[in-house]
Amino acid sequence: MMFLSNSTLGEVVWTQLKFKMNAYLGAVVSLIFVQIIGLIVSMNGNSSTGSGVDNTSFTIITISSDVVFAFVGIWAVFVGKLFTTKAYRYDDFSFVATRLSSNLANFSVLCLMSIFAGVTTFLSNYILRVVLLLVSDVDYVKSVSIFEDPIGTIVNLSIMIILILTISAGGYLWGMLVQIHKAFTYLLILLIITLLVTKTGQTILQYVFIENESIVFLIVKLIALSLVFFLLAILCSNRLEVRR
Amino acid sequence: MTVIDCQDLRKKYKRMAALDGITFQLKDQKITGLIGRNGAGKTTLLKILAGFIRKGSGDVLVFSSNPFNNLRVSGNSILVDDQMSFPDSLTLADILGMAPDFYKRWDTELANNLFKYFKLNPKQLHSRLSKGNKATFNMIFGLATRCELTMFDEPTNGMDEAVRSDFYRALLKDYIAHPRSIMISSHHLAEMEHLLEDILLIHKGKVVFHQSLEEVKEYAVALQGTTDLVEKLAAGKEILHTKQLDSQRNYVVIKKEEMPVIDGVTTQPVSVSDVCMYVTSDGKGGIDDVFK
Amino acid sequence: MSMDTWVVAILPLLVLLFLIWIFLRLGRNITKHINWTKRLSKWLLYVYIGMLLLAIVAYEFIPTNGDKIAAPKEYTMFKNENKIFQQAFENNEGSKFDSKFLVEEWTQELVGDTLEIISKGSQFPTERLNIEWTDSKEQLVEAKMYKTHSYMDGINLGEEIPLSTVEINDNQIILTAPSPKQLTYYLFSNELSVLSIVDSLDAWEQRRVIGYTYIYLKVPKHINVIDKDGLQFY
Repeated sequence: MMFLSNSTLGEVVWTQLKFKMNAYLGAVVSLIFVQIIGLIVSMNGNSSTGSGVDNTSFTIITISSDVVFAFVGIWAVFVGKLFTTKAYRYDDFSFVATRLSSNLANFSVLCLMSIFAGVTTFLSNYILRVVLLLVSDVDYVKSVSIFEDPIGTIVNLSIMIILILTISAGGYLWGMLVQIHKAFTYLLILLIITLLVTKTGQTILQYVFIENESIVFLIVKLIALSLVFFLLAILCSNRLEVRR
Repeated sequence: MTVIDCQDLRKKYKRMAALDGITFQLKDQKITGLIGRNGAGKTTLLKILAGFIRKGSGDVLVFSSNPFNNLRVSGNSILVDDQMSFPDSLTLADILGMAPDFYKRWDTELANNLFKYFKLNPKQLHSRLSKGNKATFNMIFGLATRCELTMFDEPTNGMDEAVRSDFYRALLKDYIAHPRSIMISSHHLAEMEHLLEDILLIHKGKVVFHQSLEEVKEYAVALQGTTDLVEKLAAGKEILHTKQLDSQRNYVVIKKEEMPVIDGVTTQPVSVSDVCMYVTSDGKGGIDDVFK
Repeated sequence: MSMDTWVVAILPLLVLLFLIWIFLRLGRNITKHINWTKRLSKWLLYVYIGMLLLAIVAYEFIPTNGDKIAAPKEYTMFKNENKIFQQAFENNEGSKFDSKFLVEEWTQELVGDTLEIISKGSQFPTERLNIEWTDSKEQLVEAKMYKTHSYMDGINLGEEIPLSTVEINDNQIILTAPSPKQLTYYLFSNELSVLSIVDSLDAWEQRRVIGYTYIYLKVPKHINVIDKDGLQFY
């Protein structure tokens, strides 16, 4: 008699997710290093505004999370891409997996990592707030803290999380394309340049990032974009065979 | 219920046919040896069965479904080979700890006992294992999954003599305790002959025969004696192999059939591994012919 | 943004991309050689999260300048009050001056019929001066110094900028500008400024009100005022 065990897709994805959260802890550790480097770079301040009144000149150095975010964004691209490399895909198939379950689990991991990356990027600003006190004698201007502006905190936090998710989903799609053909490696760089340089590209960027009536609209757009990236990646992965 | 059902299965790699019309069925719970020469298509066949790669044309059904992208097949089958990989961040103990989540019939006790017996280091990383230890670990992993279809592709590569015989013994014992369909491809047919029930011989992407071990043992017979007598006896028969022993005597392997007994010609049984070797050789001669 | 700015903007981005790529490559090679155990990773993670939480709490206890973050609405109010004062000042409507801007006042009995106004310490006068002529026959001069709202990013600049000193002698008013001072502050932002390029300029304008020091004199008509530094604007 044969006894076949039947697992549902949900069960397998959940098991894979647990497994991946353990196995990919290294990616989270690398995130911490990336953030620390970002913090060191942003110690000089991101922008400063000056003004002179009655023989006194004022300089206000604004320190925001932009630089750290840029570093984390690039980290997100490479983490997304890393998940599509042979080694990572093969690991899945040493256990129970289909391409669909594997992709869903990867996407869930990217979501969780984006949440972690977004929250830590947002909070990393507070490390600077404390560290700068120790290393410099410049006075602080009262700045908005989490407790004073909870709604603003939630909004900014969600934007960061979702932006990181979109970027990592893009990296994931990019990685899948590279797995299909090596030429796609350079396509991303080419695509970024075309987006930035051409008129159409700028129109698209403006449409996505700038022409938003509200933050909610931006968030919805970014989620939709991540889903599109992800669906395309699933389609690509169905062309890939493991352990050829 | 049929475990594997292949009908005219084909697979091409860049115009080169790896599988060229494989047809066979695997029923019941048996240990089947998948035998063939290098490049016969053994690995390709196993990978298609495991759902790692897509079939070319024809039909392949494992547990009545196409194995590619099938969760049920993936959950009930495992392919153990030397390309098995596990995340670098997990130790062997971690891997064994996570396996039960994936495989519902995982045998923790068996896994732990074998792990201890083979003296593997639980804190070691899979990628840093020596070739032999990696093969041993993969084997433990494959056995402990208790998958209804367990496939081993050259499982003993890199293992030393002692581990190899331990492995065969462990496999047989576990199979008797928990019968399931096991497929093993190996070069070392002679040393694992005792545990096989069926042999599936493939050559150049085609099935040569799929028979029980007993049938294969009776497949051929060797005639040895003076050249003229042997040639006379073998005339009109299907000659699988000939070898000139010395200037007077000849050794011919023919497909077994009823034969008169003649003085001066001895008939000898042919071992299973020799049968497989002779059947899949292209010329009638052997390596000796090269040096003539 | 024009095309050139975009090109200039992406060049450092590409360099950054390249650097991080190299960094990740290097990192991967290094981690291959270290036995990066799961436990070590987990510890690192906990320590980092602990540090972040600690920093949030610690920041609450750091003294900062500027008692509150003024809402854009308040800035609008400040601007309005400044404007009303400026207009009243130009129109010599001393009665309309908001008394909260008053900093100091003096009265002085002049000797003689001339009053000399001297500005010191600055190439350009830092004060705005206006004179209201009175019909009084006495020698009495009344001087008042006002200072309007100055706020920037939540700091009350008025408190930080030293006042001009005013010295009144027998027939002289000497205004000395405060000595030059350089003030630097850190401002921390929770927002991504990249995403708010468009409205950040407005927001920045909204968070800035610059006020001035005003000197208002009440001088009897018969007194001759010598203003060689040209402090009188109006």
